[in-house]
Amino acid sequence: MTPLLLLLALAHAPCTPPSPAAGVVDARGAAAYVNAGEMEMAAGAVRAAAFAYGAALRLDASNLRAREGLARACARLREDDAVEAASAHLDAARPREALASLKEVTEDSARADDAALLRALALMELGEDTAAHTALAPATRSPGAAGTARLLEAVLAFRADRAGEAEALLVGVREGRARTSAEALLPLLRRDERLRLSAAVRAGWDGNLARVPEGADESGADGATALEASVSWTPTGARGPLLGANALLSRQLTQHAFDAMVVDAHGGWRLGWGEALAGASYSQLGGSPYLMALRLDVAARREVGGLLLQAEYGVRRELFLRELAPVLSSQDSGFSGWRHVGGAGVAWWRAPLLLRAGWRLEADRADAAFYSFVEHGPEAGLTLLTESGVAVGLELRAAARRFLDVDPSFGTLRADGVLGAALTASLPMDAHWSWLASLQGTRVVSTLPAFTHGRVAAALGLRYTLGVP
Amino acid sequence: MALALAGAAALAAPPSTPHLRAGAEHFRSGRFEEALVEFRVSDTLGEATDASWYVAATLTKLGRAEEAHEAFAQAERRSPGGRDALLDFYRALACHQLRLYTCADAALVAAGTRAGPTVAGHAAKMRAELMTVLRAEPSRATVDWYFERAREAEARSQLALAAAYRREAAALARRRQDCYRCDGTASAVHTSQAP
Repeated sequence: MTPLLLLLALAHAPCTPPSPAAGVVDARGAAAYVNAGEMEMAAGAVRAAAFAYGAALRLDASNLRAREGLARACARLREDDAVEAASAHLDAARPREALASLKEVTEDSARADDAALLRALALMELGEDTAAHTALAPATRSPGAAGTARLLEAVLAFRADRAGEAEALLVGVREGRARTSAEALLPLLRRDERLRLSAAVRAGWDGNLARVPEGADESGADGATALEASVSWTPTGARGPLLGANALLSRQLTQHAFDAMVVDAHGGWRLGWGEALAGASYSQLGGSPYLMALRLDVAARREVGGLLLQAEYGVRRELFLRELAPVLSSQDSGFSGWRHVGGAGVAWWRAPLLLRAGWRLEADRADAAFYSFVEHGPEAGLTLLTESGVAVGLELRAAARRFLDVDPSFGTLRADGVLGAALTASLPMDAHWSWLASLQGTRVVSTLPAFTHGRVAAALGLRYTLGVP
Repeated sequence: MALALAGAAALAAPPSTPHLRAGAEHFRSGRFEEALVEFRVSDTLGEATDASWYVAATLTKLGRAEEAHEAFAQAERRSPGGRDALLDFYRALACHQLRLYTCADAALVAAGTRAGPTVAGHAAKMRAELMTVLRAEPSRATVDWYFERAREAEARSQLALAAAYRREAAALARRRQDCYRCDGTASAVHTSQAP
């Protein structure tokens, strides 16, 4: 290795303070390095520029242009490192650390635009959307960053339930990669239609529809087909009034006592923190009137540090329509009453996975105390949602159910343990049609053997969805 | 490449020799930014005009294809005898990065006639891939895209690059049955937008 190479190898870290070669001054060589440094700096190759300025100073420590150039390049390198560190922190879901890294980057820096965009992203991660909007301001005025800034502004507008403004911002994004992202986001935004219609047909098999106890000779299995339809109308978008209706018609292959028809209508209000809905439903079982219910549901959610905290409560007045459903036989009285369902949980989203965990509580206060029960237990869910719209979900739950009085038919207090699992999948074929699949399993262990049973059900379906802005 | 550069540096006269040699050493070790600076210094000191070819090749290696293209054009003007098969291969890579496929093909043809077996093998493989790209008739949008890149390069004063994009556009236009913009004129859209 020549002395020159040795010198250069020692100075491999470009911002290491240069040590001039003793007794050697090469002003012409230094000027050539400075020239190379300025070419590299102009091309944005800052590390190469720093190397060139450093090499110039080693040949001529008095070269002022080299000294100034090295200071400029090294300041820029520190900013580059800060931006890279912030980007890495954001990738690792550490927004506070990202913000701390970005303090290195000043507003007049060449990386100011990148820093503004990353700062806004970090603040959005933290749920500080107002601060994120402020952070974006300089980037929106910069030709090189305006497209991405508008993209983020659109996300902020959407999060503030200003879907119209978000759409206008996305349509206005014209620049390169930002435009590609905007074009990808627009269909998702437009998916938030004001009027949404959906219909589905399903066919499936239930291994124990009749909940036949374990050990019994008879089989409770049956196949079924079902038609579902729903409509929802949100005239003012994500916030404001909501009206909707659902209908279900199912027909069993053999056990027609379980043929069902359900219609439901609901209305309410969606707010930034949640929603409140009131609804009414009517159902028939086996072709006869079965149940009428009125309900009130309230749900609230809040994002805290990247986690979505959720709580919900619903109360339902249930009126069983007597003596009309064969499956209830003589036990059809006393079921009517009030049912309370509540839950609290937390959700965490990291593309493409959504994780949920929570605790559910249900209290059924039937007119007959021996039909009344309290049930509670944990539930958890995992959903895989790909960019192409494929959704695969796994739900698990466990519950302990305790009835409040002795059932006179059995002479003992009933208590159940329930385990449940459900695997669902939705595979979109295009903007309207999706394949559906589900597999569910339930196991109930009761102090009354007549209620101990297992159940596995599977279904395939096809759904059509139409949204109208 | 490293061997070729070391060999070239050995032939160069002082004082640029140490910088060429240092550049080759950095290049061989994968320190392409440092190599580029050394080749630029050698070029600035003006003792070996061949250095401009190495500047261009190193820019290609750094993925700075537009600058590399300009640098190759400059090197060809200043030192037409300095090229060799390996440098032509790097020139083809730069053209390929810029989607200048006929340019890349021409550079590969030039490289192939003088290259050793390794480079000739790479060149033949790359030419076969290019033939696949060039086989289909280009769309009008493709021809427009190249004319638009030429206009942008001209606005940035990258005249060699602008000329290359224009040549590419014309070559592609001639391969269309309707000879769309064969005469190099602006498209209807551009004409209507012209002041």
